[in-house]
Amino acid sequence: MGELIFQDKKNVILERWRDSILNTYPRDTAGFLHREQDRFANPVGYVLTRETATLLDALLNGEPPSSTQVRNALDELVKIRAVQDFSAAEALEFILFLKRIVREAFHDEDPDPGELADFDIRVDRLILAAFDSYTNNRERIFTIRVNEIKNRSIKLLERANLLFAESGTQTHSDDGGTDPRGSKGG
Amino acid sequence: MRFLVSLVAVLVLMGAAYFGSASSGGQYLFGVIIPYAAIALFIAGVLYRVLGWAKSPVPFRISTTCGQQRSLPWIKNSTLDNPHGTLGVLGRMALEVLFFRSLFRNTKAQIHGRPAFRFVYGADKYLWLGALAFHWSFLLIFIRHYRFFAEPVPGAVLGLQSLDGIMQVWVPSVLITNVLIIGALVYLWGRRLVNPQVRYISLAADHFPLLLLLSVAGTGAYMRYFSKVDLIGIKQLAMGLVSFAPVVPDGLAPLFFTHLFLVCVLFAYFPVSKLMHMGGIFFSPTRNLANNNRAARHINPWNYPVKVHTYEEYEDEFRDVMKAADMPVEKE
Amino acid sequence: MAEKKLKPEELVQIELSPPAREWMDPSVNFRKGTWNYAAVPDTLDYLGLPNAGKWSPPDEEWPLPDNWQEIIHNGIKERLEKYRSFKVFMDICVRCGACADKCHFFIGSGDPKNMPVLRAELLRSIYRNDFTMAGKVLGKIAGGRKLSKQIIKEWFYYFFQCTECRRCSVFCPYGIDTAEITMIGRELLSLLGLGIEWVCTPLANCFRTGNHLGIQPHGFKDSLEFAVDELEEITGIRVNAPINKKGAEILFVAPSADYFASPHYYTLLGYLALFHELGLDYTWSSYASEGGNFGLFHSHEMIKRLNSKIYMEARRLGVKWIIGGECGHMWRVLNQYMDTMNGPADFLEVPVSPYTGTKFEHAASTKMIHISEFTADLIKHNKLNLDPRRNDHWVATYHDSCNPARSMGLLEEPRFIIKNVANNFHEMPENTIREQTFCCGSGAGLGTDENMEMRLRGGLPRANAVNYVKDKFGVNVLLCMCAIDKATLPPLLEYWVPGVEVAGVHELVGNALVMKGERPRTTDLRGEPMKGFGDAAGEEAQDV
Repeated sequence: MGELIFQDKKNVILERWRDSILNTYPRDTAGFLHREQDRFANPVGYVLTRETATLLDALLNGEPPSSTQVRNALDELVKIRAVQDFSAAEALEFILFLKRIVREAFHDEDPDPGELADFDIRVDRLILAAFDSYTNNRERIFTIRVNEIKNRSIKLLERANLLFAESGTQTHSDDGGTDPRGSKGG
Repeated sequence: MRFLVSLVAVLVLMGAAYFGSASSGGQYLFGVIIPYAAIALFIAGVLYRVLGWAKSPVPFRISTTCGQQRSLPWIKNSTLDNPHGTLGVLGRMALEVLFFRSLFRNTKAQIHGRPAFRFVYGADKYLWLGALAFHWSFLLIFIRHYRFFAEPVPGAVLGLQSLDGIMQVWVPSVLITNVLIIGALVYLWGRRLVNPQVRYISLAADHFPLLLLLSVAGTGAYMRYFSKVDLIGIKQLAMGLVSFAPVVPDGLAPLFFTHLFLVCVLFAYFPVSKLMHMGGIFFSPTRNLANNNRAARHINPWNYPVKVHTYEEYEDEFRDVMKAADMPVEKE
Repeated sequence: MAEKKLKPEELVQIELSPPAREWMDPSVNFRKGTWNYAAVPDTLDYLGLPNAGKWSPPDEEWPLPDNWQEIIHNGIKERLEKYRSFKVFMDICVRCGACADKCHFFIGSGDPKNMPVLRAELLRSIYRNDFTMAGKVLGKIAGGRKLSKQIIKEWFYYFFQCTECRRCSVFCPYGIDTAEITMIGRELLSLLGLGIEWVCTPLANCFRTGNHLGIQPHGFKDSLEFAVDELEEITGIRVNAPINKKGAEILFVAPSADYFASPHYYTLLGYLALFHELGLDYTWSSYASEGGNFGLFHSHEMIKRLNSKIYMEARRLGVKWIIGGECGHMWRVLNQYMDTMNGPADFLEVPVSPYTGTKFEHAASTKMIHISEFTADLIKHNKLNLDPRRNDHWVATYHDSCNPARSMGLLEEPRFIIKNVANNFHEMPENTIREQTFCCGSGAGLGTDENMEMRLRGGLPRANAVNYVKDKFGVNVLLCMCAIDKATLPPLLEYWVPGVEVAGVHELVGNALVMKGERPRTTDLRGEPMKGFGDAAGEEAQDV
């Protein structure tokens, strides 16, 4: 499969991949994300650094996008981009960057078209997984919004529910999934 | 580009003085009239600004607390970061003014999460160091210049100078402050050009003072180390200026007038610029007030009555439901 | 392969780095999820606020009054004359950049205009242009901008994207406080009738009914009684919750979310249990039932209008002093504004704890102390029977709320309490707590649902630190003492750190408090089983 060749260039690819992701932010911000190394002062940069490495490793090792490791790494990255100033396409296009970067990295070395095609397929699978992750996270935002509104006056709602309880309806019949008490330790 | 405007402005100023002082009457203009005018502008301007700030009252005591408050006797109050009394405030201000305490908070050494774990110092430590180096050097150089304005030169000034010159690697000996101030200014300006965040926020009004100071320090250092200027003549001029009997001795170099003129520009520019932060820091309500609001009432001179919702209005609106719920009411 | 004939960069066309724009060209993109709904005209009318109109932030044309420029100019002028802070902060910033990366919104969003220095420059540029010599003569070179409708939009977007948390002011070498600038920026917007719904509606509700949801007095009483019932179910003890009781020694004021919202409510149960166990002679007030002050998110005048109720009610009820509950912005107002605005409270007495005799000299003038000061003092003097094992199902960390930390310095009291009521406590990293604490990202009136994305961005630094202690120590609860935190940290953690709950400090006090005559406890105040207190362990619990 020629994995070794890929492994050889891994660091170059990783570096360029990160740079192009940083370039999706305004220039002055990219500088901060790149420079500030404290993981608490710069969580976005930290996640970016850590998870891009995990993802690239997984890609080169041929791990399926369904593996926990890939899913988690992808989710960490997508989660952040899902709430920043990006459209869905902009939020996920960073995965496609890899196709270009790999071609650039091997430009002078006549890479085996078969291998490139194989790599492309992996990237395609990854972007499909990213699409899932993006949708999940966006859906989560809307669930959270609904829950928050409920929680704001939950004790009033519960009191209203009590009236039903007296007439035979269960008090906490449908809030198991949304009441924060129901999700403890989950 | 905002820094280009500033660069051009400083070059034009330098050229004006260099060539202007060579023309007839130029020496008197640059040696006497402009210095007096600059000092007058400086004093009047600074007074105007400071009085302007003083005129606006401090309606609320809004200290930013950076440590434990004084509350229970067995909990240690962090006196300098969250002062409860005047002494603490003085200490806090002294740390702030003399050592840039808040800026120092920027520094941190921590283990980081880049692929390989390692110790890295926050880049902003250099901002604190650079700022400190610049301000202290400037102060010492400023004091050192006193030797031109007094006869005999006070011992303290001489002592300062010899201490400054312990690095004897050049004749005349290189003054540490000269090296520091130029280094610090180059760094402070450099970060405005290189660091994208700081470049984004920098205005011409940020580049200009740095370049102006750099040109002042540069011309001063050049005179000291390379083109020997007529120190006797300069002292004569300086003494004349302070005794209000100005004379312009012959043979003063254009470079000296350039230096003097740049200093004059600095003085005149000072009150209309951000350089007023020198005075402003003393007026900053988040730093110069004690956090003792609950112990001693702070008075707002313009406190005015506002429309409130009284209990009576409240009860009038809700009396019926309150009575129905067995809640006590004032009027039945 | 044909591909090889192409240049590599042509293979996949990707647009890099957005064009570098100067910040001075106003631009603002009202993207869904980032902005707040506009205030409803009815609420502004009720409060007597000017220029109420019907509009929405993404609208092209906002309904500004004809003389809007004049209103802003005069508004700035008036405030320069009234606030030295404003005037000095407008003048002395050197744009050193120390604050730039200290803002949680900048860190989480990457929007450069969220750097505190730039947030202030949005207003400062107008100040320069209108009020300084350099700005008048040199204009743009001196950093001046001419006021435009676009700039008003920019103000609205960015001043309602600041939580007035004051973190930047800790790092500023001159103590420039963006909260001060944001507050004044919002005042100016309010002069044009531009406010947000989640500030103005609660304002009107608090003003009229005393709580932010507009619940009427009998509803308030119902809520407290409901809580008394629930506490009885858990502990077997029926506590007393006196309302509007004249002649009580102490008036207790909590943020009104404590009565209606989760998880605030469990803190309320904690208060009720504690006061009952002490036999405290105190009263709730339905009129002054909101300590949280939405006025702080609107204007200085509104702070005073809402805050006035507390002293007026203390006087009417004839209490001796006041205790305030767990709340953040509320305590900024109580500590830094109340006495100045609505004092002097010379009709009250300096607070003295009836149980320890401690005289709270630090509140000698306001006569109001924080519940955690009160409780810490009790614990120090061994006045409470506490069993910290009852919190063994929690592994806790503590989030310093911005205002108690940076406008008060209430740092050790809550920590002392937590260490006495719980066995598992771990601090988050140093640069994310105490005076360097990161905001929840939803303070200052931003804690509503339509701007959820912006809130999730702003809360990322906080959540990230929680994530760290979750991984490292297995933390499963984030303690805090702020009503806004309790409302907004749960969604934040649900997104970034699922599995970590949010609770108030006095909820854990309530769990650990062994009450005289209580039934064997098996659950905490949430009705959740406690570790080691199952049916078999019931006996053991009683022995403590």
